[in-house]
Amino acid sequence: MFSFMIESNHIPSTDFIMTEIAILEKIKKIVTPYVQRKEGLEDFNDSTDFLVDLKINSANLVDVILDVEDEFNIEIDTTSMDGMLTAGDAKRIILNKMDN
Amino acid sequence: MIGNDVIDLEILLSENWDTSRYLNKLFLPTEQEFIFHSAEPNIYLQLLWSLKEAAYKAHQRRFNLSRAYNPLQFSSQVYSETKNELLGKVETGNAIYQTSSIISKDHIHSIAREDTKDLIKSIFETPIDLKKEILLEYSRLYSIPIKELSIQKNENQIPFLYRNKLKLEIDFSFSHHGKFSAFILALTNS
Repeated sequence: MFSFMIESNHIPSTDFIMTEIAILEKIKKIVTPYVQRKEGLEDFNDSTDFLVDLKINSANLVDVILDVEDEFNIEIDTTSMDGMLTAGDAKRIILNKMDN
Repeated sequence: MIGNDVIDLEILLSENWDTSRYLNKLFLPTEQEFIFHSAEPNIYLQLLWSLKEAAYKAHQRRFNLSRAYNPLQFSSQVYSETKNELLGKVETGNAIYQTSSIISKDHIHSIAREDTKDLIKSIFETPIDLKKEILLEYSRLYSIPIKELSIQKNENQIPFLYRNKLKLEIDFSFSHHGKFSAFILALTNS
């Protein structure tokens, strides 16, 4: 039992990968209304940069954060917000908060 | 170092602008007090946001900092207001940036600066190639053929002017919002 648990930490389960994809999809849906460069959404992935690729106004990044908080029922503190520049950053923060 | 920020007042900054959840992520208690004791909270909120943005740009450029979304680390205040200009300052860590802003009927423009060197400011109300405008300005000022000039961003997305392959120690800042574009360019005291 115990060794199985350790194993599962090393090999991501299919469920886990599915979760990551689902989270990324939800992030995409959340940011869409604020995107000023729509072609940036075509290849939406971990490295998609909210300000550089999607040209989201910096004052709207907080709206994105509030929507993420509501969608995932988490609270994003100032320190986490600091590093939320890409879709991948947002995904990691969400996964982290959901674990706690 | 200098930074600037332009805000198109025809665009609503955020639908959540007057909720405490939104405000608490962007503005310190002292800033919120200033905003809501002003005659037009919606305008003064955008004014303080422009101060933070302008100071962030100056600060990031000064220390070549990697990008961060940390508005609460920039404490802004306005201490003098005349018909033509609002003067203020932004503090972050040990650094202080002096600010000057204008509020017109359709836009806000703010400049943050570490020093008092002269600068050129241009604000455009129509869609424009801002990079080209700044290159033209620099080319005219220093009589350098424009084809020798270019702008490239470094690893932290900070733009720099180049003459051929030489990086120039020229301080400038861009800003876009809605239909407005603006740049400031510091003049070298030579």
